[in-house]
Parts: sequence; C-alpha cells; structure tokens
Amino acid sequence: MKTPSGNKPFPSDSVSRDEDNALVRRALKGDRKAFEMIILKYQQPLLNYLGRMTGEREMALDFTQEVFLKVYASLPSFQPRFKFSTWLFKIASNFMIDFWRKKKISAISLDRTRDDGENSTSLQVPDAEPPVARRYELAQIKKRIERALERVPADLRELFVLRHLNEFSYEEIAEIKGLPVGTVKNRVFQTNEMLRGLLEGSS
Amino acid sequence: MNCLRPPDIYLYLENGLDPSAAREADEHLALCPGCRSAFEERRALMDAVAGLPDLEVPPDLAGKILARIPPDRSSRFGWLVAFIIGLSSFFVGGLAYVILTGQSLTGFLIDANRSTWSALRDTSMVFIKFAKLTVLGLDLLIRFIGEMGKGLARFGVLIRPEVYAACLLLFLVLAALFVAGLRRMFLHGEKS
Repeated sequence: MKTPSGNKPFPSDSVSRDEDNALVRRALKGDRKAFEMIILKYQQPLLNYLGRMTGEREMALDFTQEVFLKVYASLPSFQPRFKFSTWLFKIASNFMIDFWRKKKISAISLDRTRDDGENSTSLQVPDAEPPVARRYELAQIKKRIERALERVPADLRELFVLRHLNEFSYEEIAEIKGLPVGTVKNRVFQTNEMLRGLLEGSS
Repeated sequence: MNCLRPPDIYLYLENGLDPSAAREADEHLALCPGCRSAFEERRALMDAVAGLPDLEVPPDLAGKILARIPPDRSSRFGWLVAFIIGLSSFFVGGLAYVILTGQSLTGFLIDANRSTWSALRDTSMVFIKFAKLTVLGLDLLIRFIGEMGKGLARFGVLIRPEVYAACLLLFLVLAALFVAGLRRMFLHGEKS
C-alpha cells in the first residue's frame, strides 16, 4: 500500500503488520497515544482514497474522521490474522457504500452531467516542486486526470484508486471488496482504458 | 506472437506477466510499431496517474478525531477507584448520619450490619427464583425440541424420502446462510 507520506516505503510488510497489531493491542487497552499513531500512519492514504471518492476535500476530511471513529469502535472485532490496512479500507469502503445508499446514488454514471466549475471538481492539493513552464503543463495534466476520474462510475473508480493511488495489491483489493482477484484485475484494466478514452475525448 | 491486448500491456507494465510471456512481449514490442505506440501511450498514462499528488492533511486532524473519542472508563484500575469511592461514601455517609441523628457509632454499625444482611437475603431470594425460572424454561425448551423431533419423524413417514431429504437440505442451507450472516456481522462488524 502507498505509504503515509506517499514517498517513503514502510520498513517491510511483516514489520508494519507486527507494528500495527501491537498498536491495536495497546489501543484496546485504552492507550490513546497508540490510536493516535494509527491515525497518523493512515490518515494520508485514507484521505487520498476518500478525496478521490467524494471529489470534495472538506467532505473527505469529515469522512476521514468518521471512518477513524468507526475503526476505533470496531477495534475489538479486529483479528490479527487480517492485515490492518485492508481491514481499515474495508471499513472505509463500506462507509462509502452506506453514504451512497443514503444519498441514493448507486453509482455515478458516465452519462451524468457534472458541473465542471472549479469548486465542484478541483481538489486542493499541495504544490509540487517548482520547475517553471513544465510545472504548469503537469498541473494541467493532473487536473485533467482528476476530472476524468470523477466521470468514471464510482464502483470502478474505487478499484482504480485503491490500486493506483493507494497502491494496494490486487489480492488486497480483492480482500477489501470481497471480489475474486481476476475480477478486480479486469475491472482495473477496464477503468484504465475508460480513463484513457475520457482523456483523449477531453483533449 | 499476436499483437498485445490492453490487459497484457498493463500486466507487462506492472511486471505481472510470467517470464516467458514477458520475453515474448519484449520481442514483439521491438518489432511492432503499433503495439509499441499503444504501450507508450499506456505507460505515459500510468506515469501521470502515479504522479497525482496527495491531498493535504490538516495538522490537527488526529487531535480532532481523538477529541471525539470518549475517555476510556474501563481502565486497569477502574475497579479500585470505584471501590475506594464506595468505601469513602460509606464512611462519610455514616459519619454524617451519626452527627446528624446523635446516634452512637456502635448503633449505626449494628443498623448498617442488619441492613446489609437483609439486602443480601433479599438478593439471594431473587437469585433463587431466577434460577428456578431458568430451570423451568430449559425444561420446556427440551420438551419442545423433543416434540419437534417426534413431529419430524411422523412427517418423514408421511412423505417420500427424497422430499424429506430435500426439505432437510433446504433447512440446512437456510441455517448455514443464517449462521454465515451472523458471523459476518459479528466478526467483520465494521459495517454500520
């Protein structure tokens, strides 16, 4: 999975897993510092996921809080044989499903007309490093990808985000979504192609 | 080798092809300009997607979340605190009673002792009655299960064995689904 900072790698999968399990055990004993460490470790990937799923940063921030509260409440049911990150994203995924169900939006279809105004589609992101003219060009490409991604149906977008932005393996995504690995792969490839088509159409 | 399909190109990009297939793809890409162009196009897209920036996390997010979590009441020494508070309340209450009524301390302790035993006696009576009711309930349940068994046996005589087996199978499937649902709810109880 993509790291909290987005760049630095985790020490290793098993070390990270042991670390997570130890933090969960401490949090279950009432150690708030341990849960704070869990939040600090996963807030970035979770916000990235929820941001791309909602398309609105403020809503994504609220949802991040809600998901962590749900995680805290569900800690007693966490089983160390599962990977904590996949378990957490399963909760986040179910949260989004509940949200869409309540909003009666089963999936955002390609046919749906969307407001292309800055407020509705642009996500506030920190600035990258500043090389001069190329920076503007890159920013434009990224903005186009973000916009195109919003036009992808929510169920496909979710798999795409988990794979390419959160960098989960296909097996982990299959565990999060309860789908066969082959189906996950096919849908991710299908979304790649859909995104490519949308970008070509918008250029 | 045939031209590469998009899923093959993505697998190739992710090093997901097995070594022999990857070698064949290498060779094909060196010879086929169409596939090479398709490959470059998809590689550029994947590079651009990988370069999408993180959303900015506000520095106080963790603090906000922790502030919404109620303090843990079941701490390790919670029982000790409760015990000390109870004991202190007893002594303070007793002292106030003695001062206000003018009763002697011995008299207060005798009264307290009598009240405690009376409360214990009443509690045990309630407990015994509850135990009797539980035994009665269990007895009724066992009889009910026995009668159900007899009923099923008679039902089995009346219908053909295949139909009986089908009914039993259906019941087992429904029971398994019910148990699986319960398990999912309790084990993966993250879904609200």
